[in-house]
This record gives sequence, structure tokens and C-alpha cells, in this order.
Amino acid sequence: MEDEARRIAEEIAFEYRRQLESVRFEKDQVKNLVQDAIVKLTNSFNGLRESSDEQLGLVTGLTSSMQDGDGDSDSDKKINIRGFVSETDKILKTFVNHIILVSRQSMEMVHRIDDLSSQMAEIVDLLHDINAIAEQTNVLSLNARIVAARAGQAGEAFSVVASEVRKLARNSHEFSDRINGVVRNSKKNIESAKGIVEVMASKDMSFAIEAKGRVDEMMAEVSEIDRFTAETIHKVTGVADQISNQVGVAVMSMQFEDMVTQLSESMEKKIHVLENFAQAMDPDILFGDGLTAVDRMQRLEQVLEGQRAGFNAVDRGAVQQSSMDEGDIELF
Amino acid sequence: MLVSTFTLGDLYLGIDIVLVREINRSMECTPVPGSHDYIRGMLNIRGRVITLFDLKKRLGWSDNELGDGAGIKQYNVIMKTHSEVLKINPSLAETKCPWEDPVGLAVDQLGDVREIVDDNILPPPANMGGISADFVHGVVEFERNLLIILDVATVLGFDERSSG
Repeated sequence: MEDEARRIAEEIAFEYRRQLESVRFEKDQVKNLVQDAIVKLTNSFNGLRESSDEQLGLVTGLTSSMQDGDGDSDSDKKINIRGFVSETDKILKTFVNHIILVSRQSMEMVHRIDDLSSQMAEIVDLLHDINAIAEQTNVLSLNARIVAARAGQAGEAFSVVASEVRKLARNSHEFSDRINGVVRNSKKNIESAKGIVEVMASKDMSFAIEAKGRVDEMMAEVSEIDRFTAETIHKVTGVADQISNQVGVAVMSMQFEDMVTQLSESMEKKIHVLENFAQAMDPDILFGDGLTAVDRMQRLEQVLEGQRAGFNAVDRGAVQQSSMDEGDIELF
Repeated sequence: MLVSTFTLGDLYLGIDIVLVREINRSMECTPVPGSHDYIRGMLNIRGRVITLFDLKKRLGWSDNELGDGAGIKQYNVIMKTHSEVLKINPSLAETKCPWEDPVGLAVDQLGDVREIVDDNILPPPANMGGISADFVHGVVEFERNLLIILDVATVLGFDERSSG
């Protein structure tokens, strides 16, 4: 009867140790799994944070390259869109002003050419007068010849003079005709020059003003796009900040590994204490021969006392927290 | 002989210079109502009243041949009268200058005074454009041009052959 009880007690002790061993094994498994996962998650979150920071850096660079162009940004002369727009606008204004100036001067030139043209007409009139004189001289010389012919031999010398006068008249006529030809050509050239300058004066200005208007519109559109982009980038920056914050929180939360390790160690100690306790619970105390009930009581009391220090030590020092939410700062 | 030359359209014409009194640029003339159409009108030159012949019309040119002669400046060749020529060259006056009234011929352009050797003067060819042989004293080939020497008496309406 006693032997049977001892055997059962030993079996209980054995099963008790076995289960404790199993608990220890599973506890270690949990610990390892959690550690692995934690390492991976931490790496992953750190990577995410780095990527997010990098993204933020890129976006910030983009924003600054788009916005500050007013010289307050160091010495770098990098052209940004806003600067480009205002610079182009300035260049274009100068360009248009020049063209308008040229156009005005062209109009002035048209007036000058008109003056020249009317002076040419005066020259032609004068040449007509010269021709008329040449003609009169011609008629005069012919009449002189006629008078000389009447005088017969006596008029011979006079006749020579008359024919010389006629030659002169013809020469001056030819001369004035040649001048007339040159003047007519010049007049033609002046007219065509006037036409060209007139076209230049009227057409260039309208083209330039049209072009200016179109570029102004384009500039307004570019400004609008610029503004929209800046706004979007600003939003993206906000989102990146949020991501960074959340990743920070996540990484911080990864510190529960410590708690798991602490809890695991505490469990290990408790298992150890339980093992010691099981060992100390000698079946002889309950089932040994020649022991009185009082003796057994005393022995049990002694074992309990012997283990109490272990129990107390295990009760203290374990993690007090039950969740991550409370006092997460104390973790570090 | 000396010949005073001028043009009439494409024709190159000449008149013995002794017969010519003077040459003027064409001027306003007074039309004579009821006269022949070749009488352009009456001129007053320094107090002398002169009958001006339109030579083109006298030669019988059609309106087509006359062209738009209105724009072309013309000259008047004023002729000497019989008595004036008589003082210079009596034989010429008798044969070539029967008219006593002062007359003039309207021509287009004036030419030079030409010296013509009488022997070079040829009789008028049978077919000559623009002018009837009756009005032609003779022709001279001159610098590839045919100079037609007018028979002024016939032009002015004196039939030389019948009278002389």
C-alpha cells in the first residue's frame, strides 16, 4: 500500500518535471520566435524610416529649387522655375521694347523716304525745264541756220556757229535724259525700299505685341503649375513627416522584446524554483518508514521553509507591466 | 542744196532751206470754219497772219495713221512767200515758190539741216508708203534713211506741172 502510494507520488513528480521541461522548451521557442521577428521588423522599420527620410530629402530639395530664387539662397546661381519665368519675362519685355523702337524708327524712315521721293520728283521737274531749254536752243539754232542760208556765202561762218549751238542743245538734251533715267531708277528703288520699310514698321510691331501676349499667357500658366507643384510638394512633405513619426512609434514599440526577455527569464526562474521544489518534495517525507505524523509535518514545514526564500525571490523583480501602452518610456 | 529736215510719223522729210522762213514750236491757232480739214487754223506771228496746214491730213493720212497725235508736241515750219524768195533766189521763186500768202506746215520732230548734192536726188519710187508721189520732189538715200524732199507747191495746192 505504501509502495503503491510512493510509486504514484514518483510518477506525479516525474510528470510534473516533464511538463515543466515542456513549458521551458515552449517558452524558449516563443522567446526565439519573438526575437527573430523583432530583429526583422526592426530592420524593416528602420529601412522604411531611412527610405522615408531620403524621400523627404529629395522632395525638400525639389521644393527649394522651385521656390527660392530671390538671391537669399547662398551663392549658387541655379535657375529655378520661378526665376526662369521672371527672367524670360524681363528679356521678352526688353525685346518687345526694342522692336517697338525699331518700328517707330521705321515709320520715321518712311517719312524720310517720302521726303526723298518728293525731292526726286522736283529733280525730274527741273530736268524737264532743262529739256525745254535744250529744245528752245535747238529751234533757235535751226532758225539761225535758216537765216544763214538766206545770206548765202556770207552766212557760212554763222551757219557753223549755229550748228555748234545745235550740237550743244542735243548734248544737253541727252545728258538730261540720262539723268532722268538714273533718277527714275532711284525713284523705283526708293519706292521699293519704302514698301519694305512700311511692311517692317507695321508688321513687326503687331507680331511682337502678339508674341508678348502669348508668352504672358504661357508665363501665367507656368506660374500656376509652379504654385500647384509647390503646394503638392508641401503636402508630400507633411505625409513624409507622418510616415516618419509612425515608423518611430513602431520602432519604439519593437522594444517589447526586452519585456519578453525579462518575462522569459522570470518564467525560467519560476520553472527552476518549481523544479527545486519538486526535488525537495522527497516521497520519503510522506511515505517513509518510521516517521510519525508530527515528524512528517515538521519535515514538510522544513521543505516549505527551505523553498520559501526561492519563491519570494522569484515573486520580486519580474516585469510589472501587463501591456505596452502603460509607461512605455520606462522601458528604456 | 541745204535741206531743213523733220519727221512726220515714221517719214523723214526735207524742204529746201531757202523756202523756209522760220521754225516755231507749235502754238495755239484759231480754226477757220468752212475750210478744208487739212487747214488747222490761222496763226499770228509777230503781226503776220499765217495759214497753218496739218501736213499729215494734207498727205491723206487716216485717223489710224494719225494716231493720238494730240499728246505729241509738234513744230510749225513757216514758209517764205514768193516775193521773199524772189529777193534771194529768183529762179527758185519762179519754179518752186508760186504762193504769195504766208503759210506754215505742222510737223512732228525737227531734224538737222542737211547738205544734199543735187545729182543724188532720185525720182520718187512708184510705191511709197504714207505719201503720194505727187507731193514728192525726189528722194535721197541718207544714212540708210530715205529722205523725202517735199514738193511744197503741190502740198500747198499749186500744181507745178500744169502751171509750169
